[in-house]
Amino acid sequence: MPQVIFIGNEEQRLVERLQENDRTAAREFYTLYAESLAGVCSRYITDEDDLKDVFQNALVHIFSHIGDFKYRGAGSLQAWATKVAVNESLKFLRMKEHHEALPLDYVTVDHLEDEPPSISDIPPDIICQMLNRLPTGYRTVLNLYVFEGKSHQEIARLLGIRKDSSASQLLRAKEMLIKMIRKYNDDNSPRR
Amino acid sequence: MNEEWLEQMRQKMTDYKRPAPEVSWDAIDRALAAGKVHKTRMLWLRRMAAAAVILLIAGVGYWDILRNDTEQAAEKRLTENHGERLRVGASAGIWHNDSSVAKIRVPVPVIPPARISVTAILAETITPISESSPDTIHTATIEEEALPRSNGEGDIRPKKQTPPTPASVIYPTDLHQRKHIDNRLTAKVYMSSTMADNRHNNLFYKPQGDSIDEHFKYPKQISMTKHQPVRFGLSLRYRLNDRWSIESGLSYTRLSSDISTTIDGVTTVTEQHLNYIGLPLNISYDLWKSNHFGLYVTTGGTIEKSLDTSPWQFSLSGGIGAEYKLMNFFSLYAEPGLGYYFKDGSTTPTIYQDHPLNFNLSFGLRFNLK
Repeated sequence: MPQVIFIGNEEQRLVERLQENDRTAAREFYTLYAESLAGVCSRYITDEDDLKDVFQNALVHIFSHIGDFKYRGAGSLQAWATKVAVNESLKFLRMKEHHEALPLDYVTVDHLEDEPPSISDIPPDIICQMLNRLPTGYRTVLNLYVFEGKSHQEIARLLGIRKDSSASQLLRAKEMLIKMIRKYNDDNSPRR
Repeated sequence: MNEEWLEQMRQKMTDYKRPAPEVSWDAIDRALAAGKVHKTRMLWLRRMAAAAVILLIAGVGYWDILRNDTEQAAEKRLTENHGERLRVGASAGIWHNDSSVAKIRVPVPVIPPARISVTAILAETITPISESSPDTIHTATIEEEALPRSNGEGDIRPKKQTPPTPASVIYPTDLHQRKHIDNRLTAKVYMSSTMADNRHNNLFYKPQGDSIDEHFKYPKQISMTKHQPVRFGLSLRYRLNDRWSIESGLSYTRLSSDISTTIDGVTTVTEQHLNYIGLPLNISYDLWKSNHFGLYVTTGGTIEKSLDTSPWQFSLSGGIGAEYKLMNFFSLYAEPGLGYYFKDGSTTPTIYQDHPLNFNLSFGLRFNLK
């Protein structure tokens, strides 16, 4: 659950100030949310330079569309900004990796019988690095499904792929992630 | 399977932060200033208007080039001034391929009477119905004068190019009838769009044991607005005879949809774009024609390949077209019609699935090549 940063109506007030073209409000927004939004983008975008572009575009989109945003309670500003960041990431991937066709594998579902490895000791940074090592298609599907809560149907529509392709790519992504985590846990387990 | 594990993963990353990249505050401040302005909804009209302006500029540019080429063309035709050629007149001017012209690029001394006959041919070909043109008025007399002379000239080409269909079969030798079979080869640039309203669908999505969705208090509400497809194309029309012609070329079609998802009262809009490259094949039949105005019916089919996801898209179309000749070399046209789009077998939602049968309007410019 996203943290609720504001007490009282401060968040709403921030939205209003942004809508009134208040530049200090934009700086405040940056201070409050930039790191989280950068975190969101970095789940999708692996290259640092690309990340910078996508992040900048996301902020530009947020501020240029703040007039369309309707405040709907605590946390809604961040939730909306996160969605913009996801959209900007997808837009970038669509443009840049258009030629990298998303693999259309149809994986049979019986390879995840074992108990999946524990992730309690893995820092989020490492998880993000692992996500970045997944092929773009797998990573995008997994991000949308797990972190953005999209259904396969929505993912299929967003990425222009088939619904069953989304499901099979999620499985693949999960499988690869589990392998990476197992290896990480093995390498970092206390050997005393 | 293992949704729990994914859920742990989700929670772990929920508040994931990393140092934010530097940003350009100039751009952000500008964006903020623009944030108050609401977007106009007249995009579609604006795009159409922009396309029309581009087409017009292209048309005028093309006309200019053609005008400059006319003199060179006259030089080429100089070498073809033998009797038969002249007798067949305007329609025969269409038959000779560029290959035959290319063979005879040998410089030929300019003989004044021949020059006149050439202008006569040009007048016939290019300005067949402009009665006011002095060239046209002279045609008949010049022809008589030029005939024997050109017969007397040595024919430079080894043999006269035989037309695919003997001209005499389709066209009576009478010049006045042939006058109407101008513009045998026509190029066209166009833009088209359907005329229906943008399609808006509301899809309610209920979480079904999907653990991710259980975190949302309300069911998601997804709606999809499918905009009118916009098509651009280039094609060539070939006149088979006085009334019938066939047309083919390449087209590019773009389908756009806005998918808005509302979760917990927060709405996000995502755009979906699908791009198609198509190969249309149409036949048309001229109903009526005057000096500047023409009316025709057309029908045909298009096969399109999606560049993004779904497979082939077939469609049939038919319509009635009106053409207005602006200058001798190009005309404006508009073609309202009906189109039917067959199912493409994909699951990607498109406007064609909601509206397989739709009205459309195509408009653009035609350039007469030959």
